[in-house]
Amino acid sequence: MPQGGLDMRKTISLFAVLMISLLIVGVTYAMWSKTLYLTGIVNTDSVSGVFTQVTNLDPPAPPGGPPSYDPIDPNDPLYTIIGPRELKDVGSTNVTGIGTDTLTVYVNNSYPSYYNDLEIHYENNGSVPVIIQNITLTTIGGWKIASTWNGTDGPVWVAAYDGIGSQLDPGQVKTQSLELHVTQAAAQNTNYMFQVTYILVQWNEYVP
Amino acid sequence: MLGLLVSGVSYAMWSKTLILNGTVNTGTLNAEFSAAASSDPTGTLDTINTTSWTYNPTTGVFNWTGFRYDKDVANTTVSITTTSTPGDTLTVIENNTYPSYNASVAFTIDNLGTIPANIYLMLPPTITPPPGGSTSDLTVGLGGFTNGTQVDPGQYVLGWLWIHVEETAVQNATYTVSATFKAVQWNEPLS
Repeated sequence: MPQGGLDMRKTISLFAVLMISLLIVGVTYAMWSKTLYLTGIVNTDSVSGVFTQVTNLDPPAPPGGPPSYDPIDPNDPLYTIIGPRELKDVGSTNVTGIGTDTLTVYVNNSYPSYYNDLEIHYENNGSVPVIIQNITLTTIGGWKIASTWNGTDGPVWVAAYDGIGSQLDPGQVKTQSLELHVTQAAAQNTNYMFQVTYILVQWNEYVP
Repeated sequence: MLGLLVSGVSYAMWSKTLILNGTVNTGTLNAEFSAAASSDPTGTLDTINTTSWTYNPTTGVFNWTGFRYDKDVANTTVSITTTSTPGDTLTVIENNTYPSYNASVAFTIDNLGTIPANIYLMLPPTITPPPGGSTSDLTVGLGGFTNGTQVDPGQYVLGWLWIHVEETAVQNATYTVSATFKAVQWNEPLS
C-alpha cells in the first residue's frame, strides 16, 4: 500500500475530529444565555358613587307612633313665632334608594308653605378619586321652579346646593342639602316632579 | 389609529352619575256643608226659643232641645246645594212666620280635603228686608263654633243659625238672610 494514501486518510480523520470538536464547542457557547421576561397587567379600577344616607326632617310617621310634625322654613316668619315645626302632621317626605345610585324623594300631601330640608349623603365607593363635575336640577312636566323660597312664579322652590369642584377620595362621603318649599302658586292635588343629577368624574379629568 | 383610540377613551373619561328623582305631591283643601236640620220642619209644633243643638256623626242625627208652642203654624226648611264655584250654599226658608216665631237650623261643615282648615265667618248674617221693612225686623244669630275654628281632615264643626221674628216685621213679605263662611288652610293667614 503506498504511503501517500495512508496519510491522506489520517488527514481526513483528523479534520473530521476537529470539526466535531468545534461544533461541540460551538453548542456549549450558545447555551450560555439568560432570557428575562416582563409580564405587564393593567388593572383598571372603577369610578363609582352611591347614595349612602339621607337625613330627612319629615319622614312619614310610623303607624300608631308619634306624629312627625311638619317642618317650617327658617325663612318663614312663623318660624320665629312657633319654632321649627308646625303643630300638625299633614305632609310627609319618603325617601327610597339608599345604597343605590338612584334616590327617590316623594313628598306626600303637601300644601303651600310645606318645607323640608334633606341632607343627601353620597360616597365615592369606587377606587378612583372623583370630582363633582356638575349638578343639574331639572323639572319634569314643564313646570317652573320658583325663583325664591316664597316666590309665586312657580309652584315649588327646590334648591340643590352647589358642590361643584369638590373632590371625593375613595371612601369619602359628600353631604349636600336639598331644600324644597311649596309656594302659594301650587295647585291642589298635583304632582310636581323634578330630577337632580350629580355627575362625578375621575379627578384628573375634571374640567373646571 | 391606536393613538386615536387612546385619545377617544381619554376623552370619554370615567364618570358616574347619581340621580335623585323628586316628586312633590300636593294635597287638597275642601270643606263642605254636609248635613243640616231644622228645629221646626213641616209637621211639627212651632219653636219658641233656641237653646242648643247636638249632632251624632255616626247616625247623622241632629238633636234640638228647647220649647215649642202648641200650634203648628210656620215651618222652616233647610237644604244644601253643593257646587265648586262659588261654593256650597245652605238655603233656609221660613214659611208663614209671625212675630215671636223663633226657629233655627243646625249644620255641619266637614273637612273633606287632606289639609287641616280653619273655618272663618266672612260675612256675618246680614238681613235684606222687603220694601217697607227694616233689618231690625229680625234678630239673627250664629252659634256652635267660634270664628277660625280648626277642622282636621275627616272632622267636622257643628254650627247653627237662629232667626227670631220681631213685632215690627212686615206681613206677607220675604226677608233674606245671608252669611258666608270660608275654609282656609290652617297654617296661612286669612286673606
